[in-house]
Amino acid sequence: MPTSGSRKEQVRQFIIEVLAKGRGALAPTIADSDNLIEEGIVDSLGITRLVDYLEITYSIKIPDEDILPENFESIIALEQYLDRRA
Amino acid sequence: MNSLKHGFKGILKAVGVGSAYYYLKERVYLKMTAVVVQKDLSALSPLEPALDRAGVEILRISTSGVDFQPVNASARVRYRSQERRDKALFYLRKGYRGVALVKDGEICGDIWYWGHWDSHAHAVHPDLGWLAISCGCEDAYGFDLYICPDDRGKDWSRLLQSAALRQMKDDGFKRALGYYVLDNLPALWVHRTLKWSEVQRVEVARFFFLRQSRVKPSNLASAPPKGQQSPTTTTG
Repeated sequence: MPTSGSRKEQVRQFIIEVLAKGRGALAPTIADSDNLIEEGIVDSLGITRLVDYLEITYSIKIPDEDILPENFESIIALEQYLDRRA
Repeated sequence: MNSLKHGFKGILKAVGVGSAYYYLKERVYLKMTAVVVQKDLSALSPLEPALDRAGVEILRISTSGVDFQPVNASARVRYRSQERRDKALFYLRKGYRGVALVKDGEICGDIWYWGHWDSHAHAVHPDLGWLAISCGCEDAYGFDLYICPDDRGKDWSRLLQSAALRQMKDDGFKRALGYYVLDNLPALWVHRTLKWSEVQRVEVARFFFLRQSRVKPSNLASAPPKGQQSPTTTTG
């Protein structure tokens, strides 16, 4: 399991390079507290890619009851969620 | 007859893309968990900023407002998908109401709803029975959200569903009801980000045309009162 800091950067890079690519919103920089849902970055397709990425990269299973806006709305929220799952 | 026509079209389409096996498998046997959800329509967020950002407009679907006929000078917009256009005509004949997402004169997404609004809507929507949903006079049941494949990944599902909620409210409804399949992550996400709340989960199994549904035991407390709808229903 990578350190908290490097994990956060990994997730940020994934969001910038895969989810936000071509949207023109926020990218190429995304701050920790930027709202990924309101910006349309984590939309209905984005959440599928993000969950797949997190499950494969960090070897975790994300149950449907955890797929809540408060867990995925920002990089900080994602980091806190991954901390709880560590 | 229309169901048969749509079913036949579906098979032809599936054969065309080489997925006939999966199409037929789904038609023969299906097992899923449906999550019934509701939303209070009293407090909805303004829609206009999101519409401006997306560069789209919202239209209530009617036979006069959409180009369903070969020549219809008064129509402003037309369906991009022929299959979806046919489905819209089928729904309009059933008395359902629809909301469309329009870009550059073309409908690239739509969503439908049912309620007790007039004599046309005397037939209860078939989903309500097998989902054990009690739909009152102030409730609207939303279903079948569609976005054209080319326009997916633009967050338009949330936009379209928000527009439908507003339309339901304008029609005088107080509560929206609907469902999504638990395994359908995009649908789950759209409902949760729009703050729909869960009513009950229903386990559904279907073998050919025989469908059986059962409200999951842990959620029986929120099921409709006995006598209104049976928690286990079988339809043929």
